[in-house]
Amino acid sequence: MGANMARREPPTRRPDPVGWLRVGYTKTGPAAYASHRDLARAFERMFRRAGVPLAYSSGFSPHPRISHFNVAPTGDSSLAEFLELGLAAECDPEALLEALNAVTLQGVVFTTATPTGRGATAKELTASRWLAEFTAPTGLAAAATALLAAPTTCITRATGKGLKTIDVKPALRTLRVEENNAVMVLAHTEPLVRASDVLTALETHKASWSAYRLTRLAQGLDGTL
Amino acid sequence: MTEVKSLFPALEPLLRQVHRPVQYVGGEANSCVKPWEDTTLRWVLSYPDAYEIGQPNQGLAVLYEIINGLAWAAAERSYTIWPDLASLMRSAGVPQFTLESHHPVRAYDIWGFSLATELGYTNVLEMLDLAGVPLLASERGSADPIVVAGGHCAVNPEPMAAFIDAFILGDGEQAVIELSELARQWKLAGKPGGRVGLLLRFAKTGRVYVPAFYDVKYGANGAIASITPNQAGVPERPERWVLTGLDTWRYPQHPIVPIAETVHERYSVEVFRGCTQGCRFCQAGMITRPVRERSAGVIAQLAACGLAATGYDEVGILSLSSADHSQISELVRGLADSYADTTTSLSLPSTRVDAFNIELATELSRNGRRSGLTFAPEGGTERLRAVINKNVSEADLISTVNTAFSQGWRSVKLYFMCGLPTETDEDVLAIADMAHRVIETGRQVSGQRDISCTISIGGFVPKPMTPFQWAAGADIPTLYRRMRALKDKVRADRSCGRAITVRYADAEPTLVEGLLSRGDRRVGAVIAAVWRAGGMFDGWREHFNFERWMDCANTALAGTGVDVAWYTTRERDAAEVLPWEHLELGLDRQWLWDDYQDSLVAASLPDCRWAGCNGCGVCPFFGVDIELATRAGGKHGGTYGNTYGGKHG
Repeated sequence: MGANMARREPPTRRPDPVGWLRVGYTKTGPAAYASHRDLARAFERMFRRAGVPLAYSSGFSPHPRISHFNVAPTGDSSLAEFLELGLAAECDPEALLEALNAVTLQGVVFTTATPTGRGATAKELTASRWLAEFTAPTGLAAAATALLAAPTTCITRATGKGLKTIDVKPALRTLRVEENNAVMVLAHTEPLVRASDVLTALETHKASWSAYRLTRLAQGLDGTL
Repeated sequence: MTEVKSLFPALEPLLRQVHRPVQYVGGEANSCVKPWEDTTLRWVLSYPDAYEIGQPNQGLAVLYEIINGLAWAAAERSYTIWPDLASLMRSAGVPQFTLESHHPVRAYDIWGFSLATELGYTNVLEMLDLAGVPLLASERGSADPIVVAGGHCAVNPEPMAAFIDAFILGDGEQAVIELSELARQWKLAGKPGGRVGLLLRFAKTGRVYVPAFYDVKYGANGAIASITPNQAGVPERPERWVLTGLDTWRYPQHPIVPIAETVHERYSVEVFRGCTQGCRFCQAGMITRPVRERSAGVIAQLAACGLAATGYDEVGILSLSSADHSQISELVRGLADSYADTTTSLSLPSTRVDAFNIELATELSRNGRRSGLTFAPEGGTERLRAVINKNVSEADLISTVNTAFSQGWRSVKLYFMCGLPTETDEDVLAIADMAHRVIETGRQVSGQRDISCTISIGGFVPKPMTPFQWAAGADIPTLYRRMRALKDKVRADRSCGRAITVRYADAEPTLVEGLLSRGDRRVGAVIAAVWRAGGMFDGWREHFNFERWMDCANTALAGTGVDVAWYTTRERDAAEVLPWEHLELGLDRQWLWDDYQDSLVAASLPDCRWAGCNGCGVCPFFGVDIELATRAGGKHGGTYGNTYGGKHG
């Protein structure tokens, strides 16, 4: 494609967004199985269907200015996902929510829309509270106690670049077990510790179950959840 | 009636363990979910390949909206499940499901397959099996859906005759409505005569082919001796469905927007159906005659509605040769104007070799995005192009690329076929000379060195219902010898070779496609054996296994007196009864044969759209005519109405 550009003028620069909105949404049911790339594509189309005044980047392949943060992993549900949206024109947040919910996907409900500074979301959402629901768990409470007491607990996770070993403890703020459920708060550390990594850590402390489901309940500033 | 429940709770624990689970969950925008008990007739529509290939299929999108537009009917979708999930499902006892409601496919009334490529046949068997539906139509009972198939491959249904209850030839719009009506009446009447009773009702329309109602006998030489109906009231020659007045017919206005990534992500508008350029290798062109256009106004309206309903940022102008639309200039200018200051791009897949095509491409790429230019000369020499009736001279090509390079394009793609009738090694090697001239011309016109040309070449498969249905296909060694010699010759070109890339397709799938496309009922045993041996996803290089196909063919065809070579690399004579001889597409057999004989002496034939009737037989047989938008007068005059209207859902 690049070779075909030689003699053409670059397109005119598009104006900067007039403002940014932080939009909160859920990702449950079928939508929980979408990857972050799937969701990004689906949201672009959804925003166009809803007639949202999207701001676009400049250049030969303009992209809508949508930033996604901390998208819950493929397969995990969430009641607290957030994105930032650059607007080409002012719009009423309430009307925007209504328009989005009229054209949304099964499992995605838009819950909040608030004005924000660009990139503020990343600084303000630094931890998450997760709910793990287990089917037929055994040894859960003991494993949680052991995990909380252990100075480190390393797990390995398959990534695109091979196996990666991660210590879950630096991210784990709280962990509470109630019958078949566990609720935990995880800080968004580097490397990122996923909720499923904590479940793997519980398995190394001898817990087991036949199936589980993970749901992100909330996101916020580390220390406030 | 037993209660039909969603399989999603049983499926969900498996999804975490598989690759790209989103392709199995449904929930896409514009998908249509009707409560089970609200409808009396329920279809499943399937394209026998993975979601990413099947979901963008336009034919099924059309039928999906038409069926769901009927208040009393519903259509849901199901695609082939990758082996990772399929094996988990078999262990857990979860059968093939629909994407909308996750109901078991076996609980539906009609299961429709779109057969676009022969390499999807094993996937049909895989889906039937995973659904718990007996593979053989003869073994199905009252708890099984009626399995129907259509699409281009259905013009030779015989290799799949044992597995499919009924085939539809031609356009599906009216067919699905009529089948739905017949099935509903049959259900409401208490299913008189059971499955056979319904299949008889289908067959009596004269336009449904039920293979079980026909007997095939073979002669001592291995060829077919006769094909005869074995039931009273079924047609001697089941006919093709031909839709006219496309402007008045429903076209998807709110197609499903996939969440998973698929091969085509755009709003495609079909601007016409049929093609009469008369390329002798082209099955699509032969079996969809005559040309029937939508008018520019309706197309613009559809594009606007489709974009609003989907949120796509690209419109595809779809047909067998879109640059041939009689209003293409105003259509393209209109669309380009409408979307000039937006981020919406336009694409017109066209491979026509002429300057007009460049004009269109330039117009379409006005607002920024510019993809490469593709031309399809198909054959390397003028003689060979006359054989296949692709009437492009070398001078045409050079003047076309001249225009392209002078307008700022820097690379072109050229498509060719290998193994065409009468082809010699020299015909294929001549492609290298052509590419050399393309590069030289480009460098001269542009005054720059960064000119490139990609040659794509693949094996030709002779197809049923074309003039080449009698021709011998090339064998694998010949295909490889010619394609490799071409690559070597390009590599040896010192001045231009580095600017030319040669890509050639594997020859083995070509041979299997040849076996399946001109096979008869005996080939069905080969397909079943391959699937039993683990074969599926044959269109995927990493899944296709040639040795398995040949081993299974040798075993399954043993004792028949015929073999793979008999089906693929043998020329047929005029008298041979071809497996699809009993099906009526309106094409005159003698015309096809004469056109084949003309091809052998490189005699070409003009396009009947502009040069008068060639006598192929289709229009008089069906009582239809070419429908050009520029000629649209009273009868189908340019306003869009939904023959089967109403929004679904």
